Amino acid sequence: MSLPMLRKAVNDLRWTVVWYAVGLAVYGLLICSVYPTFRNSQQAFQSLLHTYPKAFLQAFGVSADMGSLPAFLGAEYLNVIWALIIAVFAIMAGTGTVAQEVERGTADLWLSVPASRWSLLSGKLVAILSGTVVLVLATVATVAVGGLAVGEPQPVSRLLAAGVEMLAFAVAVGGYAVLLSALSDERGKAAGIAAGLTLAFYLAWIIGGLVSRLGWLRYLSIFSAYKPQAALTSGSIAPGVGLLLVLGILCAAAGVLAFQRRDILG
Amino acid sequence: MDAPVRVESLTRYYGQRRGVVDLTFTVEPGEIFGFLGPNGAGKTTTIRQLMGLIKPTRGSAHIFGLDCWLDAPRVKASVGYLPGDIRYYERMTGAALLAFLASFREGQVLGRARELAARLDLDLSQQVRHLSKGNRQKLAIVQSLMYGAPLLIMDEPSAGLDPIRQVEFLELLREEQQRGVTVFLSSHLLTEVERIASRVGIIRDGELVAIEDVARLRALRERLMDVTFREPVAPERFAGLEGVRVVAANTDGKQLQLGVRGPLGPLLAVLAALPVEDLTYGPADLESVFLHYYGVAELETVAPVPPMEVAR
Repeated sequence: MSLPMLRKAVNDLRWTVVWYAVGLAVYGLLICSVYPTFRNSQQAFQSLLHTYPKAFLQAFGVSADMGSLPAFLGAEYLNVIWALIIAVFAIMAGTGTVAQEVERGTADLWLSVPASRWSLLSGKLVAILSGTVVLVLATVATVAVGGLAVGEPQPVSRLLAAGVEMLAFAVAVGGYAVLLSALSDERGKAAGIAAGLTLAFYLAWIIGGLVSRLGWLRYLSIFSAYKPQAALTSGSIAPGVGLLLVLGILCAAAGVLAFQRRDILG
Repeated sequence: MDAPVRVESLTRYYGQRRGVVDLTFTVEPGEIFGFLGPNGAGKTTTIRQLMGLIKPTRGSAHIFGLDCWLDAPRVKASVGYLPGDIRYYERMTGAALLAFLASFREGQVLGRARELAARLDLDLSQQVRHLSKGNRQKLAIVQSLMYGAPLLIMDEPSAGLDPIRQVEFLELLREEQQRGVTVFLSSHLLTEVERIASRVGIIRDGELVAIEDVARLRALRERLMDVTFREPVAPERFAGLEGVRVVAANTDGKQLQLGVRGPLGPLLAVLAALPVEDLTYGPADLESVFLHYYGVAELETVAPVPPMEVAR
């Protein structure tokens, strides 16, 4: 891995990561601040939730029993909203690695340095991974602070388990974003396909939950393997985390290979 | 010692579209080799293969004995590269950009960069996005020269420079050559290549037309001279002059366009005896070199007849 490239990539990403972290923290604290109201009127809300079909609630990551902070945060923050926000970050950062350099014409200068393509790209990937870890830690810290503020402190082991779930999901999305970037000359095209793929995963997860005969669709979605709420509730890490990590790492490795072999057209 | 640049049967197609076909040439140590051709001839495709940016369809390119595609990182360690139409990371300052590029190399690279910037009157503290076209090109020159690499590969290096800076740039290249540096300089400007190179490879439509010494090239190429007379002068007055032909003449006999090859002295002697009112002498024309190799018929679409009546 190229250290000069890592330094530059970290420098390029730093403000993006800061603003995402601030956004995630503010949103997380906002949700935490709403939780006491929900908790105090829990019976009324629970009655309301029970009027919805169970499958409908499951489809959108809402558990019928929302009497705990992990369940509330899962429904309102971590299961869907956080995943979509981090997907946007991973797609924008991942597709910026190669396709943006080619599209902007900076690839000539970038690749004029005496370093192998894989070492240059891996420098960028480590920077993105570091940024993702910062965002996950910012989220975990937000949940920890929010839990303390509402009188339901979360054990560190459960927070860390949820962090691992979040990181694995981001790695999966970032991985296929990098692969698409390595194959493309246009960042917009790579980002569009990556976003479309993420949306398809989301829809497969929703539809698979709503329509019983299409339940198999859930097995095709990365959202099915992502269970931060369960991790925050029980401290256990779902086996799907391994699949997410394998998917992300394999895609990123394929991206590096593709970049190693591709032409850089001016 | 392996040749700085050795290209053998180098061929590159983009799908069905021709890039370059069957190029074979060698650049010797310490020489400035001009790579000359019109836009779209295949110069940049050749350079991109030398820099390991694209893979040859057939053939090979070697720099100091290393395969340009397979050993690209090691190749680049001995090359200072100036891309054509260079694009930068716009938000970086010139100094930050050079520091980033220098961090991949060993030695006192940044000290050399500051010297070069001072010599070219380039402010490195500005963000690249605020630099003019000329200053962007100066930055490109600085980054290619700062490594002290034994080989420079430059694609249209003086594009965007004003005439004074062009002279300064050519002087820099001569100094590099004196240090033993080899230069591979691509250009579509015959005059630029003539002024600096010792040998020239001429490329057209993806094929290498010829490799010539510059002295021979000077004998081949034609420069156009437009002459205005106070009184009519018969075009036949120039008929006997070696290397001079009448390209066009207007009907009143007061304006002539001459094509001039070789020494200028005999023509000036004739003109001195004529009532010359005005005279312009154009730069050497690349197409006139192609004329030598291909003949008029094939070049008619490339070199249109000037907007004067053709002499009868």
